[in-house]
Amino acid sequence: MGPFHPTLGGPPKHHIVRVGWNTPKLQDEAHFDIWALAHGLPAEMSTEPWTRQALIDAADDAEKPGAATILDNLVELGLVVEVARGSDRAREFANSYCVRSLLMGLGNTREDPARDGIGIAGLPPILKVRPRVFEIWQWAHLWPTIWSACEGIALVTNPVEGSGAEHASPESVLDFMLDAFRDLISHGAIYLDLQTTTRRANTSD
Amino acid sequence: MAPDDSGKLLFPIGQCIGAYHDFPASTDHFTQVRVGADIHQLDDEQFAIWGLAHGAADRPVDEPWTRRSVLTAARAMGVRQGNKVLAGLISDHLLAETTPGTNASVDFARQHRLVPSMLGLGNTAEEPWIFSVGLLGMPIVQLSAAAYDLYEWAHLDPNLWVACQGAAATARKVGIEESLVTDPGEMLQALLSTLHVMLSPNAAYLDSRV
Repeated sequence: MGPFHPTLGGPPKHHIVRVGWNTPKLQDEAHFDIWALAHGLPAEMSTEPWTRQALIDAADDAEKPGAATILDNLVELGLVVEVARGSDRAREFANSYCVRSLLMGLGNTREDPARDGIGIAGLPPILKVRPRVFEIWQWAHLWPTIWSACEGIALVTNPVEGSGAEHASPESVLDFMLDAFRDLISHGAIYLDLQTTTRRANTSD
Repeated sequence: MAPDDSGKLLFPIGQCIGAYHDFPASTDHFTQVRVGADIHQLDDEQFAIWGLAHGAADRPVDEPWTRRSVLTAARAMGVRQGNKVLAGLISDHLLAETTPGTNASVDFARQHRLVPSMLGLGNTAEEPWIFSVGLLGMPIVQLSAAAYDLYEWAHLDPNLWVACQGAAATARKVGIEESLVTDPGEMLQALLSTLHVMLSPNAAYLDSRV
């Protein structure tokens, strides 16, 4: 939600991030910089797993000191989560968080019908992705959790050839999704949020 | 159908998914718009009218964006039979009209969600009463504190009216007395009256309620 300046001419009190119904605060620019870096560097997302160490190395390269301590603080605030593909923790993570999509779909073109653009109207796409990745941007945010999105998308995804299964497994979709998140998050096309319970519609009457 | 001068504002419903070209170099294409779990395929004239309903970036903020505004802009773009295309989009629930401040606008709010497509960029030391929305390092829209609050939070609620009620209750709880932020009706009226400011650069979209 950006920096909050409480007074005219004064410095920002903090940066605010919305996570579910809560608003943890980033106490200074250094925390904001590391949180921003945790989104990934678009140019490196296809080659480098974005791990704690990769982030600390990138912070060192950018001459941002204290990344390890700041990262611990961000984990404590719930602003960074570490997940390993295929682990029990990954399943727990998928049940606790949801996808929120940003930007707009630009679709494909006559020249490049195999990839779909995501970006801003009237400008070149910010990123172009394969249909299975675009599907995540397009649909995953409609489910309350990442895991329920995996279950839903698995039903319309072809299984691994020779597996004998009728559909892809939600576990395989989750593995694919965790990989795809890196590209989508680093380009600002999606962000991850804590699963929320909405206020009930009947409170409006 | 209501006459154009009834004060109704025209709003686009749905999220743009983008163009779809089936084959390389083929001229056959359509543009997809998602509303809830449904995908609509729009031809070029339908997409032009739907796009124009978002508003125009150079439009004065206080100029109401109505059916007439859209049809005038559509004629300038060479869209034929704009009136008929527009009526079809209303029938398909891809466009909706409502007048801020009316009971019907509360029903409109109950039927729709406001979903952000960009990041909140906060305020500045120079103008702490103005909040920006856009991409990191690229502010695109400037909003009042009340509109920014709804921009950031309303999509967590099942519909826009619940969001206005929730925001108003929060404002009352923290002791704010300004009715513009403590009365959900006034809050909704102010939001709808300026909503095209968010819609025209695609900083947000209206979706069907959950």
